[in-house]
Amino acid sequence: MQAMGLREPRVDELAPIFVGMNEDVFGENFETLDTVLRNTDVTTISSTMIVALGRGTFAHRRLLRSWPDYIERSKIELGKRGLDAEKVLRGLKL
Amino acid sequence: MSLLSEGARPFQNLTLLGIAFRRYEDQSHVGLLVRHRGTPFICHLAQHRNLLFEPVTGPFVWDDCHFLDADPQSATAIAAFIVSLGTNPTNVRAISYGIRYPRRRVFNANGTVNHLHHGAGHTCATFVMEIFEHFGIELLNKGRWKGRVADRIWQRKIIKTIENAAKERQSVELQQHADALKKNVGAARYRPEEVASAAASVDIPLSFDEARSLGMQLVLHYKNEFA
Repeated sequence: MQAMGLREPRVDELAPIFVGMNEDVFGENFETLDTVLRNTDVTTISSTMIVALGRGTFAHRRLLRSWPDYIERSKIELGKRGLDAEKVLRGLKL
Repeated sequence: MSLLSEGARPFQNLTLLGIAFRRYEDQSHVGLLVRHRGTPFICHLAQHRNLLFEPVTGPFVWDDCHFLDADPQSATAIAAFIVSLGTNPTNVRAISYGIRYPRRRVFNANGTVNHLHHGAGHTCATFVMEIFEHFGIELLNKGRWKGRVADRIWQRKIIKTIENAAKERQSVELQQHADALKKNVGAARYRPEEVASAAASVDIPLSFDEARSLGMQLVLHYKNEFA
């Protein structure tokens, strides 16, 4: 995830990350997923990756203690980058 | 009407994420467009346990998902999820056909699909809706949806079609599924033309009245386009 750094990924580059969520990192282990959300430094990844991680875990948000904090950090970081964070992350509520 | 045919607007003009709509005789159909390896693909639930991800061709009208025009980050993330869903061969037979919007989420975070019990599943339209809901985006205001007599008639007709297919294939599983579907007649129906209209809109979610009006316009537009 952080290998791409701040470069915005293309669709085909990002797709394996969704597949990899299960195979390599997340599985059914929500503790691991929670750790990923907690430890992801949003200042070091692209805006698309920030959004993909927040939106991609939205459906499981109630099982992820770190999800609200991740979304808050994402809002701040996307705002610093000049993006309309409220719009980009709209609908992402607990 | 913003959804146009391939002749009026080539599929190659797709930005990141689009919606495609077509008619088959008296039926409507809807799917999502993404670019995969440079080619516009459509991801759509064609039938019971038949999720297709293929290059888009044929008499579709389509448009970009305009509510994401100013949000390429979300559009890219959703498009990537659709690619991961569509390119996973285990998903092809995983999604049942259903006329009641499932209470249980169908998609996992990684683009695999949860198998549902008899009677639960998606139409082509609710499949599109759930993709977006998986990412926190509601296309339609489902809470204030209205029941329509024509929707019940359509639901009974589609169940009859599934029953006929079950007899033809001598499939006990399909007959059990059809029997379970009968309990859901009267459930809210979100029509393909309403979902397509919402997905191409700038402002969502659409209310029942907005979606119904735009959906009717889309069907008329389609008929004119391919008359």
